[in-house]
Amino acid sequence: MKFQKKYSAHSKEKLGFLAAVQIFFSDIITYRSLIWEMSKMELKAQYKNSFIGVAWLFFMPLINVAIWLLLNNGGIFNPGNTEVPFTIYVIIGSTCWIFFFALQDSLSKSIVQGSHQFLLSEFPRMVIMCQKATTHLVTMILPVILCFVVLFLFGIPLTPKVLIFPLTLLPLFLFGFALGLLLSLLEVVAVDLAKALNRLLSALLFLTPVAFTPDRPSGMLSVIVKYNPLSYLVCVPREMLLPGAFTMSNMYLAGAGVVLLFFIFSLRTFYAAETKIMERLSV
Amino acid sequence: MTGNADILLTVDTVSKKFSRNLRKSMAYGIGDLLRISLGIQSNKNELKEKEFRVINKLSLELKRGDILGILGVNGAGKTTLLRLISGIYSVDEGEIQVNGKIVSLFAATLGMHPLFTGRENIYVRAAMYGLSRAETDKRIDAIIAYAELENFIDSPMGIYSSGMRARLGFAIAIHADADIIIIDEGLAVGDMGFRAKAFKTLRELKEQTAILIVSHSISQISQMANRIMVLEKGEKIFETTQVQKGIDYYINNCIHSAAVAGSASSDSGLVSSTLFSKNQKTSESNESLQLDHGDELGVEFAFRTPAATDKLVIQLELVNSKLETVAVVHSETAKFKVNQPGNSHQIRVVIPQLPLRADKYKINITVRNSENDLPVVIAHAIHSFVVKSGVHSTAHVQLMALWSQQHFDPHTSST
Repeated sequence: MKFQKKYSAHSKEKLGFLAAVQIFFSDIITYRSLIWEMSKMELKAQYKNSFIGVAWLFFMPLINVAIWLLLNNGGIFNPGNTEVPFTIYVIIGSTCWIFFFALQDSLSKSIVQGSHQFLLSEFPRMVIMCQKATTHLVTMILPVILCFVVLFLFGIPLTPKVLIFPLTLLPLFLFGFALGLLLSLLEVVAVDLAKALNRLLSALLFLTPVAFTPDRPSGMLSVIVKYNPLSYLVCVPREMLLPGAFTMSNMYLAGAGVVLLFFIFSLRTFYAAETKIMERLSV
Repeated sequence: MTGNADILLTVDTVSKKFSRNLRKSMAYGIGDLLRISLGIQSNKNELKEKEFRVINKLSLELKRGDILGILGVNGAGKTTLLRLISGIYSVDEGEIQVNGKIVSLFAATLGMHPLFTGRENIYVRAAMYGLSRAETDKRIDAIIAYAELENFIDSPMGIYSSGMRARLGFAIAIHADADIIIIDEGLAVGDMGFRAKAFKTLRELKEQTAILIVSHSISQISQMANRIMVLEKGEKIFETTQVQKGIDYYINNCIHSAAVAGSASSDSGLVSSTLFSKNQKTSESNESLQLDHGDELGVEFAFRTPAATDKLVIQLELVNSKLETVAVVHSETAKFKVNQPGNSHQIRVVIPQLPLRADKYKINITVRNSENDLPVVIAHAIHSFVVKSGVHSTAHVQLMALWSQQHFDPHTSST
């Protein structure tokens, strides 16, 4: 029976990794219409009351880029040999970074901000997480278009590599989603730890080659950049939009593999622990 | 427990514990999160420091056609039980088996957005109940008509009154093909007329569904339920299919101890009350006034509201020995308005000539916030009185009228 359910003591804790993946896809298929309707509602609501509407979507990455350009032009830092104009390099890098960071940020805050809905929903709570991710994907369309517009304006030709650009963003998406799931639970029971991790993630922007080339740093920073999986997850999608050959493909694939395992771990942890954690929300 | 296909819900010796202390609760949460993420299973169910059992080894079974009224004073575990059944809380001990679609009416307007029209919100809310867009398309006209919102359905929900929102939420819920309907703390669905319609619909849905209703209003439960369960401190202390017997048990064993008139009762919100007639007066709940049909009856009561307000509607229910509500005295009927905003209020209500037939009656007092329709005072069976005289009749009310004899002239009257 479609709506047959059994809840017993600690039953969710016995959930296996593959079972968690199965439930995840089953939730997406079953509630795809709800995910889409709720995403539309959130997107419309976000911009319905706003005077400049969707233009906000352009402003956020542009502000980021403007700061990097200011720092570069002021001679404060040397980004290394970017081979293409620095503006293009940093716009694409920032877009990839925001694609990851904004997703984890949106998911991690969702439970505490929408506690009433999370606690009293009739449908699986993962559906709300999927809705947040869908909203994020739609929101990211405009900044990605902005990247293409800038490439066109600077006369940078697109290569066939551009076709696999969306695919190369997948590990960033999975990493953002997985981190968001775990942090959302931590936000309920360990506010201080969640805040500390959030600050750490914000600081990672400066330890990831978003506005400098991966071979530019030296000393301690070069070690951090080398072992930071985000270095590869951000640089490879950017390479897809720029001329030149693939680099770092092995490290990228290794990073993607680690991210996939982390994603499955997060799914399983979320499904197994969410009820026990969320019942501590006072609604 | 049988394997009957019509059993929609089985709750088998279920327990649930909570922590009294927020910091401890969070600390246990971190421990649980760490343990679960590492795949370490725990079968322990002993109480940790500052924990208590809000539900203790509770069992029940619900079949199609059942309307189970759950009674219990605040803190008895009613809402926790409903949330366990809905899968909102995890079970600490025992097992819950659900064989059908649950629709909860305690959050019927959840997820609806004020910037969107009623129509747009119907699609989203219906999808939350598992209906596809096509399924909602088939039902949408019926939902709008039921909610009586034909003229407002394409306006943003932000302009709806709380009653209109509640009506829409209820209309969507009852069109969601539920097998089990869960109603927490009665039905706050708009005005009296719509509430009566909602009750009628739920009674009609009985054949296809099972209904779980938790309410402080004994009259709501007695109108609807065909089974009663009484909870106290998380345990089932009484269960019966004889509704009157169940309500009697609740009144005699739970309410009297929780809402004793004349003493401060934090549970009901009532501070004190006095029942009076011409030559009699009592502040004791176990004392009955002895009245004749047509006598004056008055109640004076004081209560506190959680926040300072004068947006209050007050209702007194007169309940007979069969637990039927035979009369209500409502502040709106008399166009009476509380005109002193504050936390403490004292009200005096006088019925000049009581029209009730001979019987024993109890008085329930309910005070609601007129802005959100939520109860701020609920006090049941605070006083009782006996009407000794009256003409023998099955009618509850024997109206007083002005009688006179007119001269009859057979020559001037025509047929």
